[in-house]
Amino acid sequence: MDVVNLREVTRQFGVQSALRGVSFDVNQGEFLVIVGPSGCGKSTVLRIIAGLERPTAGSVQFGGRDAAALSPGDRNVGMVFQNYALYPHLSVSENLAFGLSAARVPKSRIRERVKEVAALLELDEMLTKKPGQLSGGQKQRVALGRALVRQPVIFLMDEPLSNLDAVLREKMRMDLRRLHEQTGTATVYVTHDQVEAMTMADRILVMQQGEIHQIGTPDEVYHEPATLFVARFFGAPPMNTMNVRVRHREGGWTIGSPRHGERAIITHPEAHKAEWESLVAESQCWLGFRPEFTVMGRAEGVQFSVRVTDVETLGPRSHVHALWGDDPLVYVLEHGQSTPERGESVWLTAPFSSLHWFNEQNRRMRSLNKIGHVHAVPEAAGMTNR
Amino acid sequence: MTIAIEPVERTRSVLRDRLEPILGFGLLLPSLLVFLVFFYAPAAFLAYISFFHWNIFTSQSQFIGFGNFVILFAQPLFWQALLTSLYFAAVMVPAATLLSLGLALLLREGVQSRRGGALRSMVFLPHVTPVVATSIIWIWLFDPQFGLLNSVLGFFHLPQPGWLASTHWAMPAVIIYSLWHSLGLYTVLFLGALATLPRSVLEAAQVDGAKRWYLFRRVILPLVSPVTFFVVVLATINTLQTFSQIYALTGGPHGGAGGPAFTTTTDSLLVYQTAFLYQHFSLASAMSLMLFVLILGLALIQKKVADRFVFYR
Repeated sequence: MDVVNLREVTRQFGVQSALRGVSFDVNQGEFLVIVGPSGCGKSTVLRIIAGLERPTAGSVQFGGRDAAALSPGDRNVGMVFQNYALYPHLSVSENLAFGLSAARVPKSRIRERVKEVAALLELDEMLTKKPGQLSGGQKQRVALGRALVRQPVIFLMDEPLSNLDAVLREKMRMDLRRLHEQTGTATVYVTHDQVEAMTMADRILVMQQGEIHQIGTPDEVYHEPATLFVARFFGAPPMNTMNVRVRHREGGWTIGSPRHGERAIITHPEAHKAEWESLVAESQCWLGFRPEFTVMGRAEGVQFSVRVTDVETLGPRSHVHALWGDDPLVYVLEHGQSTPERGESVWLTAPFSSLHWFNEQNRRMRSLNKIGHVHAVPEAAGMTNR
Repeated sequence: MTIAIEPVERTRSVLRDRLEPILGFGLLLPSLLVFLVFFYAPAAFLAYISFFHWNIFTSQSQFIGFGNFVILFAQPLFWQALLTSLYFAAVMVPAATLLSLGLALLLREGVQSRRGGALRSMVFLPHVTPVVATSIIWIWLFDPQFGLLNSVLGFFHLPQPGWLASTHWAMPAVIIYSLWHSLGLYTVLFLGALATLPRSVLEAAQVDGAKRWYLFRRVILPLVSPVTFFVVVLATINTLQTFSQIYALTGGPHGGAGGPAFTTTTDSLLVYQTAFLYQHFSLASAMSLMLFVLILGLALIQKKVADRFVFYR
């Protein structure tokens, strides 16, 4: 039985749609990260699960039962807010006890639970302090404790780490994962940070403009992005993408840019005849490859003649920024590889295994897996919702 | 989605550090002068003449020490007026505070909507009406025979008091008018406090399972407590200084202001009558001084109590 199901949830604010038909399930014990840019509707999803907002259409189910009639307090969710939202006038222990006292849990039981949670989150020393006397990290832990204390069926976390500094954020990422493994409670975690999504999630749900683009494991989202948006969203530096046309030429095929006319060379095109032929049928499409899976010089794959515009040295590796025609692209050089000069023209090869193809509607063209992705992931049903 | 950025401490120049106090004082100076001339100086003068047998025409004033206070304390009317003032305050302050808080809670939802501005104005409107003008209207409303109030009471077969003509009901009538006139101000203050409540804290309480009353008692009430304290102090001061509506409501056809039988004679009214009706300025000054001490004392007690209950964010 899933913990929570959303079915075709739509939410409109006036004429604006924050969510357009969002459906997904939160499985028992999983850590689901909803990620997307600001304003994509990810917080709205969380607030609808919590019951703080009502869907305009569609339904939310808790344990298979429709939750429309349940108030936020009756859903038994533990929510962690971005700005912690602690009760400023109450001490740490009163903050932790708040939900239990509201539910008229006996005092002795409350004391017990507060003690347990305080020990788990190392809050024992500050139980009598007010939130105003705590550091950001400590407030964060109190907010977690307040959610934890009621033993909720699900944790909802709305960008809980975004107010912390970088070092603390990294530590809390691991702490949260560890806490999740200890409690085994299903968690929906909202963030705009792709690194948080990648490192913490069992499954990632990628949203943009109120729609789900993909639901999958971090590996799937990275290696098999379902849409051009997902492809560009993950990875630093992001995936190189260019608008191209595949055309017959001199008995073979070429990849050309309809905008600036540059052509890339395909080595051994006859190996994937049928696939190239199917691409010719597309009037236009998008070709993508990741900066970290490129090969310097001319090798097997698709070869681009590019002009170097900039070189960023990061220590263990360098990022080379270059132009193919006027399409900007980036590739990664490991430490020790010779770096080109600015303005130099060089050859860059995207191996066949690194290619991603997207059609005009920005959707992944799965049939091209052979010349695109060779590291094939079984097409598990329900992994993507498209 | 907002990302909070820690404010960066700016490095300040030494010159700015030096100039800042001077600039600050300079900006304060105009209002300080106004206060000095129109407030502190008259107040000091008032305290000064309360130790004299003062004569404004001949200025053959005579220092009599605590003489005025001795006369004052021997006057039964002074003590009666003091009790009337305290009665007035004891009803007004809790009633005004509770009613305006309740009104603000009711109006809160509306205020967030588009018609909020209009609603707020409507509630605030009585407060900006001239006291004397609206008092005259209320005299008609309070009229025992032809007034609207008694017509309504009569319709429901309820007792119809004599209001301003009755020794028992004159003070309640003054209180009803004063509530009508002042609630708007206090309600707007509470609305402001409610509007600044952090939304996420209220939502956290909802998720925590706090129902209406629990939410109000454990979250809203403590968080608006600074404004509650402010309203209590303000209402106390305003009530003890009330003059105009008593003068206007009880003056009219029912004889001299403060009646019937001095039941609406508060300290403020007595100060006025002593000074301008009986021309006894130094006695009135002594009485004002006592009123000041009373208000100050009450405010200090309220502050002491507030320190235990008020939470400042």
